Amino acid sequence: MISQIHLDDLAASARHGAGNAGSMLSRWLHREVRIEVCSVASVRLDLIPQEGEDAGATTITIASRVNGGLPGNAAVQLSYADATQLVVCLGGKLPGEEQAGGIGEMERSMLQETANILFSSMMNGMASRMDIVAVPLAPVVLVDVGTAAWDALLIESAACADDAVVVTARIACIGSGPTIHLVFLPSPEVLHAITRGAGHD
Amino acid sequence: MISTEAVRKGQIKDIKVLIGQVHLTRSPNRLQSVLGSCIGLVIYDPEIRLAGMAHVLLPHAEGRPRGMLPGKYADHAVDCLLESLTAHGAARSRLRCKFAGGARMFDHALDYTRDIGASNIASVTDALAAARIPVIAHHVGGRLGRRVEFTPEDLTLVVEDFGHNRIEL
Repeated sequence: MISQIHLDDLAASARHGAGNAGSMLSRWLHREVRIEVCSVASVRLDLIPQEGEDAGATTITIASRVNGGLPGNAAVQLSYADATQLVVCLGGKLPGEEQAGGIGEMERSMLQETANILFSSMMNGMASRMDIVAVPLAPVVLVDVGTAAWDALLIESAACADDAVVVTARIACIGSGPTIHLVFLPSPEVLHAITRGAGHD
Repeated sequence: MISTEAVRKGQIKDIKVLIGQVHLTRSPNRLQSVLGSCIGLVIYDPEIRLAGMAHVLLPHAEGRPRGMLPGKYADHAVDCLLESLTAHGAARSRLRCKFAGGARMFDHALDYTRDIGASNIASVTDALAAARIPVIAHHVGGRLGRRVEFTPEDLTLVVEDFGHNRIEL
């Protein structure tokens, strides 16, 4: 069981990572951004807040496996409206929500590259503060209904417990632009390592 | 067909079944869930219009205790639904089942997930066969998420995928 003191340590690293991710997003989108939320909490699986909780909504999830010293699953979740704004910032255009299944290759790459930048900066920022290395793999874009993508993201944590440690950063553009919900679910094995090795026992 | 007016007035409750949860309800309420690789498993007693839905995330408990989320594993979910339904007046011999879900969401992108959807489908099928609960209908597999809604009033499980294909089971 991870203690509050370990969660606080992880939160300090997450804030460092979110700061990095915010700066990188700002450069990528040529817009000022603010970190609205950066939190680390142990949450029961069914109570984890997710983008697209309105069952009818279309949600874009861009997910990546993270390897190295800080393994886990990273995901960017976007409402369709935020994804549309994000793509516009990058010079592209998404079809209307009813045609969301037909998103073009170029726009898909824009979403993928945004997630790639965010995962690398967030995870490297977190990992460097912990004196380890994180290696996010190429992200995958999934356009689907509401919270459907979460089933796959939660499997690893769910196999070990009824709750999961969730690292959340919400980054919003100042003025116009998208709000991006960045989530990292550390692997249970790394949490065990943190509780064993952080010197707070 | 249930009117949206009745839902708005609070005469009918739409109950959302989240990951690992199990919920029971009677007509005229409805059970709803959003599924990717998970299974929305509904067991019901058609005579008294009592139904339960589990949101199954993983195939086998492998000896782990039931915990706070009794629907998390397929085998626990079937046991929990049978216990709860019979405790609320359902007859074991009348119980029937419909289920949906088990999509392959990320393919090989997240290696550790393997094809968890297929494993979930197989485990739910095995657990139902072991419990001798007849499966009336199912809609499983594929690569798209699903919204599901079970209405105990008419015993229909409506499945709608991301492509807006709507199927009534």
